[in-house]
Amino acid sequence: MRSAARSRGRLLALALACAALASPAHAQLAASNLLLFQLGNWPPSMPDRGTPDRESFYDRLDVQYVSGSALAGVRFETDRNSDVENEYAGFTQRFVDWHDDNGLHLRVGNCTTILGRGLVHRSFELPGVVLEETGFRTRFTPVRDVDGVLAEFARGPVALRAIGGAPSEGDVSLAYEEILGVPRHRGHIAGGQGVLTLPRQAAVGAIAMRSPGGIDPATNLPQQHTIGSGFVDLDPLRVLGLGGPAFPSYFEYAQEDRTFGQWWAFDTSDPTPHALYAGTNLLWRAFTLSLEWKDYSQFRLGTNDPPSLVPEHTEVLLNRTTHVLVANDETGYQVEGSWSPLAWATLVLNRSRADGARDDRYEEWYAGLRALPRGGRGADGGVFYDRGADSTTAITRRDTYGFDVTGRWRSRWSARLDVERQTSERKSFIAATSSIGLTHFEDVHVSLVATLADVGSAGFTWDRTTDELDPSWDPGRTTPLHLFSWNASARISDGNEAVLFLGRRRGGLACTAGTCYVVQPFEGFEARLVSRF
Amino acid sequence: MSRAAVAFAGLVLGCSLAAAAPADPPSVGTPRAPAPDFKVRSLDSRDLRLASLRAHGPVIVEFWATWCEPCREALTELEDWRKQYGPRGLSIVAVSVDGPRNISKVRPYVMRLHVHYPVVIDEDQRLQRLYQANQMPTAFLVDAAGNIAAIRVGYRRGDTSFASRIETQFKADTTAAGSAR
Repeated sequence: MRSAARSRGRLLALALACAALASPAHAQLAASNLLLFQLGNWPPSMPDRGTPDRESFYDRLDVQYVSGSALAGVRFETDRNSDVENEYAGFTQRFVDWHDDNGLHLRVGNCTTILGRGLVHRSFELPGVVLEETGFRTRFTPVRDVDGVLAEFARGPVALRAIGGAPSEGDVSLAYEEILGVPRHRGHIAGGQGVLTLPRQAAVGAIAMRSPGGIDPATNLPQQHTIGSGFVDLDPLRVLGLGGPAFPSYFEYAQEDRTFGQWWAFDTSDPTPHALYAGTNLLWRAFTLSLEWKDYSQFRLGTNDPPSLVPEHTEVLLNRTTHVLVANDETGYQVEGSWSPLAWATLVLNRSRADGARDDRYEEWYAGLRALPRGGRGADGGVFYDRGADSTTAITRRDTYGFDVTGRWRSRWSARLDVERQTSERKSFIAATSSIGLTHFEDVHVSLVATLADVGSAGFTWDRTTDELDPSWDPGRTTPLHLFSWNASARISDGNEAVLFLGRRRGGLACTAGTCYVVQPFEGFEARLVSRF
Repeated sequence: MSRAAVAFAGLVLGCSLAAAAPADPPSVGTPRAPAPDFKVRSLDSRDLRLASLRAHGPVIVEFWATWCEPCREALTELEDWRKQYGPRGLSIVAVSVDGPRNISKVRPYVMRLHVHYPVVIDEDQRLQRLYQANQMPTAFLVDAAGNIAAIRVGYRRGDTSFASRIETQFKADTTAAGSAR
């Protein structure tokens, strides 16, 4: 802990030096702040919820100091509540970033980057998301970064990228460090990639990453693992000099602790830790097709993020019932086609499937039609239907359908209605018969939002469920659960936006920017103020 | 965090504020704050640099994602602006913040929308962090001098304030050019 604090101090001193040396004439401070206030609590069905009228503040302040080609930044986070439970306040991010006109970029401190398509390494953050953890109750911004150094260099057809330092699991708040003494960044990784751009927009690249894991029985020292990967990015039609349709394609294959000769064999048998990803698009006039294939085995590295090949839906009920990738054993594909036969209508079809260990299988069929008559000046809308099943969550069948429609009038007014219904079958223990059987449940989501452009919006949401595993479901309930809420948003001034919530919010899985996380249910009043200054 | 670290951080902020103090300090969200420069490659392999783009006139940098429902309309509106203001020098760069899960859908998505401005993928979140674009969509209007003239967070159809800022920017640039002559 002391060494971590010393390290932090040294980096901040470096930031200070950079700031002090910067030319004031070109120096600028930029900041953004997120303030989240809640009055209320989790529903009574949740364990250890504390007082029902819990009052809490979470605040995140990002400050960046820009001076020419140098940038220094810090993030301050605090979580306070009336139960005085796991409170913290402190700096959770700090970095110094510098680039020159010759293609060199250097960042010291908290870094995020991606190597290839993330099979070997991807560090990232979800800046618009605030997570709340149960058990050791705490709120924080999820950041799966690396505390270390990132260096990049690009000149001509060559681009190099290297990263090294201590990775974070991303779901640990500062309270863990301050109260439990558990560091947010642990261990060590080091790696990088080289990319060579070829004629006709093709590119090839190689990636290597070193990370410790386990103990070497021979030396009793931490064992080092090397993950190697290679990729090709090209459009074969363009390479052949053919015009017309575009066919951009990407192929990457990664292995752990193998020689180059073994890597070149592209072994996809399960005992070999490997990850294979191939994706291509066919783009031709009104028709587009996206095809992806994955084969992952023993490749849940903790610091990587291979493409999951599961559609990220904007529909509320589909977004919260998505499949979460099991990179330790999963093979599958995703095909998505779209066709715009008319200027104002687009049909999207998606088929996804993944097979895992113990005959686990996820599969999904999706069809959606969007219409934008007369450029959407008066109204637009869409309908969708989705059928899926996911044995990793014991869902044997799930049918979801719905529509949304937006009407507009007087140029500044609009209203959007979203109606969705989902019926599901889950294999579970049935207490009445003391046996495993199928339980049926239903979810309904309705929301109506009216918006006055330049000013803000107001609306309500109604969720209805008969799912006994819903986190808001109180034991002994025999009737459907209804959750009503009111929402409003307003632009207070340039750079200041407020979002208000009153009612009962449904908890469960949510996905943003390709990453899924659990949202806790909530009952009460919430105000979120986002500011830039 | 140790007290020493907090003290250091306070010093950093204090010195930064002091360093930025000489004139009345502009900031992001208000005119005259500098837009961080960037160099990126678009999906159609065009090398774009903010400094070069703004030499022709104002630039809109729009952050969006395929999973963001309002982004679709925002991108369509950008295409309207490209047609309307492009001949007068407006440049548009649409920055997709889609990660590995959706990166293969960016090209088909853009093609479906029939947009003709450059689209880039911010695969390592570098631009997103540089501009502190925490909500999707977020649009930055950068003036010819390289300062952020306006920011629009979110999208509401019929909101004309951002378009008004573009018009205002053209007038200001014309006035500035006239004064320079």
